[in-house]
Amino acid sequence: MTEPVPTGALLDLVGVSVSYRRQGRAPVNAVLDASLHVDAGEIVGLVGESGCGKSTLGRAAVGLQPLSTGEVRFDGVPVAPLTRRARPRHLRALQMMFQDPYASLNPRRRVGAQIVDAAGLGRGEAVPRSERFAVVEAALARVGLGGEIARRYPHEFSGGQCQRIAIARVLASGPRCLVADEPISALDASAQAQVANLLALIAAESGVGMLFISHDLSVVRKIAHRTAVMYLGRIVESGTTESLWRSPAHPYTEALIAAVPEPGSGAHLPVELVGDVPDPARPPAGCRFHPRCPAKFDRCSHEEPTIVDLGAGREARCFLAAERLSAALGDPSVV
Amino acid sequence: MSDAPLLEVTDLSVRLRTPRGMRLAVDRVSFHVAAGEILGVAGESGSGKTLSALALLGVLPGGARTSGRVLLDGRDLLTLDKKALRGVRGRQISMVLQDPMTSLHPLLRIEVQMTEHVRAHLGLSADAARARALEMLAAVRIPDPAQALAAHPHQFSGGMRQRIAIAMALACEPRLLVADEPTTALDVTVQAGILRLLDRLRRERGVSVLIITHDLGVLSSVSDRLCVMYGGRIVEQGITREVLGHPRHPYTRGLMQALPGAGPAGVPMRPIPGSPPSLDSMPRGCAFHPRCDFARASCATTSPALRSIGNERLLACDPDPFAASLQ
Repeated sequence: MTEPVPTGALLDLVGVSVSYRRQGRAPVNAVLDASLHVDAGEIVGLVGESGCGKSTLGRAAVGLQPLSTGEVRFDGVPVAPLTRRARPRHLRALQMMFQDPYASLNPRRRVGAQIVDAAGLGRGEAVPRSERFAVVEAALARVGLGGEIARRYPHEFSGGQCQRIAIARVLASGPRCLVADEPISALDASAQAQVANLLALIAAESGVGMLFISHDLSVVRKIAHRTAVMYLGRIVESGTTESLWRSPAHPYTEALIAAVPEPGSGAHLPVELVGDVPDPARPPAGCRFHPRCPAKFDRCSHEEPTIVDLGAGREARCFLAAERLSAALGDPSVV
Repeated sequence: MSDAPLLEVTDLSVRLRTPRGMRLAVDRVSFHVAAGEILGVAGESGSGKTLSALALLGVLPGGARTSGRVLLDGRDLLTLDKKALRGVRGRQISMVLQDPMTSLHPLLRIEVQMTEHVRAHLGLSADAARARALEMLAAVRIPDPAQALAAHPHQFSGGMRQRIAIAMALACEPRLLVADEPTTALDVTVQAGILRLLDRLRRERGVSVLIITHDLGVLSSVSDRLCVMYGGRIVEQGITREVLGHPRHPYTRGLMQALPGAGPAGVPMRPIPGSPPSLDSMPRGCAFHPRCDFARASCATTSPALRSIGNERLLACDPDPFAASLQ
């Protein structure tokens, strides 16, 4: 038994809560009891409005954010919060990607040197001088760029190219799991599709698991195998992307989907979800979504629903989830 | 209603001063906006869509040079002196920007920001200006307008701030609202609210809107007509439903195909290869030809003219590979 004990999931978040302490005031629970897993080669989309805690959960998944309760396991091994010491070897295969490639690349180092740095980090030792060019060329080739750009600096590239360089760098470290926080949001329309396709290809070809955090539902729909929806610190619904999109069980998921403007000839105004996301420091009593929910009833305002298992990998945190799902699927036998 | 459009832009060009000399950033752009109409301008960064809008208001970066004609109600804005232009900006045309946090002053209460220009432009008393501000905040559906007036911008969410910015832009009852990426920084749920608001304003108040965005989903839901810009030029223009339903320019078609919306999951999106050109590397001929699947030898030398192809539709593409798709 030299291999780590397989738990089924590559990245496993169990009952994760994160609270931010504030001076002189009660702490804010940015993430509350969130459970999520990512398998090898799988892309899991994490969606929600700004302030829902999706970025905090992503940071917690890679150990950038200490947990108040719960556990994150990578390959069955607990992910310890990042400290001043070097990261343990086994955690280096768990990597993070950020929204702004200009901020995540070092502006004063050549592209090639940064890729060599990452490769050295993954190997645990410096890359020998003789191999460096081959390493850089191979990494850039995987993102569709030529080795000749290795001597250039990040500012010489467009946003889409920079994000591909950032991907080349992270791939050079040999990751098995990536947490990508809004990796395409800062890019132009055509570059968004290029980078999203690239990430999907990497997951399919190299078996890299991916937690893809985005507020853009249409991209998540396109590349994620499973999707989790967050609202005010809670994961309110999760399931395979296809079925979740076709028949959302939680009213919030339904509202999010209805708000996406669909381009094309038969377009209409998107549906507005009335109200704002409440202050996470003072979440509403009962179901956190009830003040904005079109389907709310008495019980919702004083009792918080638990996660309901809807079968077929679907879960939702709503009293009406089973009812709504069966209505959506047109199956009267399920109550 | 008169037949002349509210805004008529003819051959608008903008030259920018760059470290390497003057560069043509907007190249002979023409469009019009009728009263109560929403015109969309689509394009990627560097396409010249924002510069065209800034040129309308005469607020271009230093050293920029503008030529052409911008008629608002028959008056050419490009020939106005500073003082006359000040009477137009905020009064006849007002602007809403992408980031409501930077367009609102962080240290001033909303009341100060919402009444200052109303008093200056319309000469209202403090009380009347306050009443106008309350009315506008209610019109954009800010809950409790009186309380909002006493608050500072940081006390509102992004969507609420953008509503306030729109209320401010509308306070002098402008004829034209120029909105540059008004929903790009917002969540889809909030975006839906802003788009509905714009649509309601033009129906109820007859405000014309020029909305600039790279998001074709946004344009297809609110705009009546749209212009697609690439490399500083309009490459396709027409009724939104028709342009997006049957794109005729290879670039418009490419943008539509790159969208994640259509098609089943698991099928890769089809991005346009390459990146948009920068001012220093503007290709000769048709600016899109290096990325175009349908380019011919002539595309690299001659820039295609924008020509009418019927039904208010304009196209700048000589090979015109999708001519058959439009009935």
